[in-house]
Amino acid sequence: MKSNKVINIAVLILLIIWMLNYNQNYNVFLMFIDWVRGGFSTSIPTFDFFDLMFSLFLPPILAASYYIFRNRLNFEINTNFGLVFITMFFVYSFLFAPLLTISDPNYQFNQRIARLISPFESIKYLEKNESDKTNGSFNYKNRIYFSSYSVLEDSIKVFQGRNQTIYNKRQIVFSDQKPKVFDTFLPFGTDDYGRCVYSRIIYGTRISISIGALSVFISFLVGLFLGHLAGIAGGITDKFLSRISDLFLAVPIIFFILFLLISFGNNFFTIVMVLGFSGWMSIFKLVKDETTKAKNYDFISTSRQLGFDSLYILIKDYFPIIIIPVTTNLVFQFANVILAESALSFLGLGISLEEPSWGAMIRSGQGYLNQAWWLIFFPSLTFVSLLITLKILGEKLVQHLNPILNDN
Amino acid sequence: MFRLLLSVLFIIVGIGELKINSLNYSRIFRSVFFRFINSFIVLFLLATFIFFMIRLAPGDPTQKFVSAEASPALIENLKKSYGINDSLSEQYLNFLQETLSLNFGYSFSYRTPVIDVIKPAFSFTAFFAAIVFVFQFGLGLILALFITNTSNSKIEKVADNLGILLFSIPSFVIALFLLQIFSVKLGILPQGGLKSYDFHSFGLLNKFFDYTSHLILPIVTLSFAGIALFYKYFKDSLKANYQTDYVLFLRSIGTKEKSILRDHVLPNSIIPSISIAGITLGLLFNGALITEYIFELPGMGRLTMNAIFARDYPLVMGTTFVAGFCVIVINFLADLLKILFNPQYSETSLN
Amino acid sequence: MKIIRKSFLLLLLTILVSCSVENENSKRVVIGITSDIESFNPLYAFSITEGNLGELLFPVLVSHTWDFEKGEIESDLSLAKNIEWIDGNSVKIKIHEDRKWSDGESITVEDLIYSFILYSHPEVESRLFDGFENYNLSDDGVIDSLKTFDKINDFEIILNFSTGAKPSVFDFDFPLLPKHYFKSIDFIDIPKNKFNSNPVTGGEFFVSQWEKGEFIELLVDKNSSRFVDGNIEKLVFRIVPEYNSRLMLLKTGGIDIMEDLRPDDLSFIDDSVIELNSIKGREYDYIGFNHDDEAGNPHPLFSDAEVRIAITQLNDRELIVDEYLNGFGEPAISPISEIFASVYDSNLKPYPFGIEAAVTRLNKAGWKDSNQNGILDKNGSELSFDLLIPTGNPRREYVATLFKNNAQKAGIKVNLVPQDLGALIEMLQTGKADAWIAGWSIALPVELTMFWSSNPDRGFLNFQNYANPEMDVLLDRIEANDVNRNELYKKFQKTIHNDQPVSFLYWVDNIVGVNSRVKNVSVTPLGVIHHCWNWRIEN
Repeated sequence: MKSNKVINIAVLILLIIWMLNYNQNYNVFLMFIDWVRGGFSTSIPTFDFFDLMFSLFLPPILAASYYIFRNRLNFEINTNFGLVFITMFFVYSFLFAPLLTISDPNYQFNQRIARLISPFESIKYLEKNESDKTNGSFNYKNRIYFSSYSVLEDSIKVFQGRNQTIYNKRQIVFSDQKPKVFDTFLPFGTDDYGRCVYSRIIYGTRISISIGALSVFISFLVGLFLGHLAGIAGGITDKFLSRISDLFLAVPIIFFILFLLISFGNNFFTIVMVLGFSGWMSIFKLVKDETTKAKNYDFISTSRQLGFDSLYILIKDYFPIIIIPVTTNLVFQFANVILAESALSFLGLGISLEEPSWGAMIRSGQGYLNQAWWLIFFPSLTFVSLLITLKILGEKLVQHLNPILNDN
Repeated sequence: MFRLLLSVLFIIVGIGELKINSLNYSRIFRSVFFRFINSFIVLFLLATFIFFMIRLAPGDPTQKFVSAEASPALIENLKKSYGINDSLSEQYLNFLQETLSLNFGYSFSYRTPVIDVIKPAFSFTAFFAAIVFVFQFGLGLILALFITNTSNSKIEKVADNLGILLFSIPSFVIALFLLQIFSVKLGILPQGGLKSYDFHSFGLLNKFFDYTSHLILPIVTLSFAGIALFYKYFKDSLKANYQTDYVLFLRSIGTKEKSILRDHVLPNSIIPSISIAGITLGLLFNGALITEYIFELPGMGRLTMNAIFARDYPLVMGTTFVAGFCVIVINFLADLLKILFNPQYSETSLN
Repeated sequence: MKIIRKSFLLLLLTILVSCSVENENSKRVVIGITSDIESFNPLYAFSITEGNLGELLFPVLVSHTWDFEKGEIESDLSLAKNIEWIDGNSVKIKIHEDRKWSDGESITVEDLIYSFILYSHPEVESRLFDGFENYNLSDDGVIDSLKTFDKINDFEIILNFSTGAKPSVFDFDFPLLPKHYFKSIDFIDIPKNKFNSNPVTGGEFFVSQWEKGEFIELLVDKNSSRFVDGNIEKLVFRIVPEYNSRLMLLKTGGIDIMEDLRPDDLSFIDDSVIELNSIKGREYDYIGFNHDDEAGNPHPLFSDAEVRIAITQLNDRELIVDEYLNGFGEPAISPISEIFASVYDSNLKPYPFGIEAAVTRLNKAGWKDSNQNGILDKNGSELSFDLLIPTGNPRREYVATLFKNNAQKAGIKVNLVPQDLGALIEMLQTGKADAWIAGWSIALPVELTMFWSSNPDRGFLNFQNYANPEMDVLLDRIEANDVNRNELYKKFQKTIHNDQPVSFLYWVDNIVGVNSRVKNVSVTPLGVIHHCWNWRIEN
């Protein structure tokens, strides 16, 4: 199958999924600024209309622009449907998490009935007549979750686990003389906090990918700067920096991270910094070697003699040489950082309690090993498929960038 | 002396055809010597680094005494006798003095010398790392040999994909799945720990079985990624070696396939793997924290983590120093082996 | 290659053959514990297990039982043969003459006197250091031997307390130590002495084996007066740090007794094999608030009692008790638990859960959502704070998450910040924490001053910087053993309830699983292991 065709089909399927899952409780602004969920108001009615339009039309516009400009995106990579699909899935989850999910990842369904619901079951609720959207998607004040109910003369008795409440009939939405029962389908069940596992997994993509990308960027900057410095200066500077990088390789990195987290607390920023600063060594080495090699190239000594400043030389002359080996390294580094982040979360040292990190989800499943297999299974599956995808992409990239390997 | 050391190493390793006499000793000696000095500088930096990291972290070793029963005066007293009220520079000088005499002091939380706390954990970790390493290296090599010999491309593809899969799955996911299957569902293997309670009453054979049943899951967990790594590495280099001209030549003069493999291809494929092997072994020696954590093994990783949480300064210093020392020594040995097999290496990389 | 193949086969064989052998022992009880002890020495018995071991291994003058009706500790004589109070300020103690240390020396009042010195000496750094307020002390804190001890003979002694003190049996209920062992050791070397791992004992049990990190094995002393033939003879503490492994061992009979069972797992436990008991009212969780800000001024949010009460109302404590604790717990009203039957005020009712009620209360206190952003504000500052949570406690994480979500519905923005325990304690001590979630396990008999007194020396665990002059007076009168003690305790509970210096959440029961083959186990607020010489195995 030709690769362009494959990508087209994958885009189409994802579009269909997106259409099916479209949930008007969410607005598009929220999906980009969602890091501070709850801090931004979603109640202003004018936004609602605009958001609806925007989120309805954005994917078709993106798709259309892709078809228009595809001939200019002139690259052929040997690839297959599965790989493209999974990659697109992660990209989509990262960008449009609120559109793919069922509920807010931190929304707790009624604790009396919703803890540890198994996959592919749904949770039922009655709706109150009064409409209530004051606090946006998070506060479903008009939903009454139930395990069973019985209709009395002019009231309805709702059972919620051990609890029971009586509601007036007039309060409840009726259809055909019966209370109208709504339900929320939970494909991957709920966790011990009564939250939708599926939605948390989708949002977890954001955590993993953004931590991965930012940390790798920091590693890249540090590695580039120090490696370039060592390569250009040589001598004592080189030796000193190499010793420092040896030092970082000799400290068990996990303990180094532990120290930093104890000192600065666990939050998004510190985790990114810590992972970024503990992964620069390989990039340092690569950049140093490339710089040392390139130092003696004619065009670089020419630029230097022409009097360009060193930043200019770095960007214009060195960068194109360095970037090729570094790029492939960065992809693998990215996978490693994502792995490290979830390992930290698994040890209980992750970014925070509420953010749905995959490692933390797997950790919570460890406590329910013999009760709830889905708590471990689904996050692991997603996580492993992201890691494998990155590994394969990295290898493809190596093949693509390195013509000698390509020939084999 | 140095010559003796080299030949001993040569005997231990015993692979490849080396012409020891043709090496340029003085140059190798110089580069090895500088490497040695460098290692010590790194070790010193490491100790200093860890020392300041742990002292500057918030919290102190008396935190566990904060309760309704212990009075503040007791805590003050303890701080004084732990020596954490002194200035940082004083503590540092003190620490350097003690470390130089290889004395890490008393552990705050075990009330015994740090050495005594580390000894069992270290011997377990060393034993465990060695077993896991043998598995990784051995199974990786066997698999690679098997796949190169059977020229069935389908099997190879399956093995390659399996390799990528195994290499990508994080160890804690593997561990939890294995636990779920073998301990929770089937109930045939224990969930954690190193030995049963009745261990000391067992016969020798049962003792051995007891250890084995406790260690199977951790070893499998930790081996997977390494097996995949070594498999890929060996497969690539075996294939590359089989395609070289000298194999063609050997075949043309009628050398047996077995002899080609054993005497020529295999040594040439294994030697370049030394540096990867060194790094892998070094990582294992640091203690596989997550595996130890899930299976409750009494290794260095868990000891260090608990010591950090308890702010047991002497113990943290001891464990990280020992772990760092191992990494440096193993890398040093790997470099040494590389020089043995390939004298040119000393010129390019050790300067 | 052949060797490799062979060794591979050997490995396969071992995998197939491996199985464990169960060794049945009809006089042995195995108790699963979470972490190893540091020392057998009762001077350093900081953890609960160490405290329990100390009482089993070493002679004590009195041993305690729990009186459920009065909700008080009752004391029985143990080593002491007779205790006679003289004018309320001195006590005459007669001890049994036939008791011996495990190395054959007999136990005399010399050991008693020396134990007092050891416990109170600053260089020994014992757990009771600085805790002997009722005695006459010399300048460095050591008990003044001349003023305190009147030795009559080897087995009889009079203890004199300082003037004005109100002594009780709790002033001399600690385990005693052998003088003949310690007299030759410098005080400063005692913390590192090998007595810590290899003690000379004199209690109902003695140490037979301690494999660090694995198990502690005690054997009963058959000469002890409490030993009854047919009762258990061996007590094993098996160290299993991981909860799931411990639970698995309990189910399969690898351990007989396990504490702190998680309520979620109870439905998976076979009641016919495992008997479930619970220890009530020894531990509560709370949300703490700093009443002062970092500069020492009243805190902008938490110095107002209405805000604190509103936060209490945002915790659905009934739900937590029902669903998370599976009924093994009850909502907490004050730090005095229901087990103290005679002083507990049963008229107080916990603030009911209600988001609307909380919002109304906050509105009354001046917090209103004036800019319509979903978060309440007052004088331009928003009602939002960081809630610190010590890492590694699933229950508190659950409660914090539930609270955060309810608070969000009410218009309070809460950021949950997981914090390493060591760092958290330092923040509490230096007053840098705004709000945190934590728990206290309460002492028996009940201790109040150190938690609620505004005097920095006496209220050293008053991390919330709670200052209420009325409360200080009340605490002083309770300390002084005022005649209306019960009334004062009730008043204390009422004040605490009205003030809510912290948000009391719930009392957590310690659920204990006991294999039903072990009989005679009495589960009381004092613990499970208490009086374990009475245990008996029946199949």
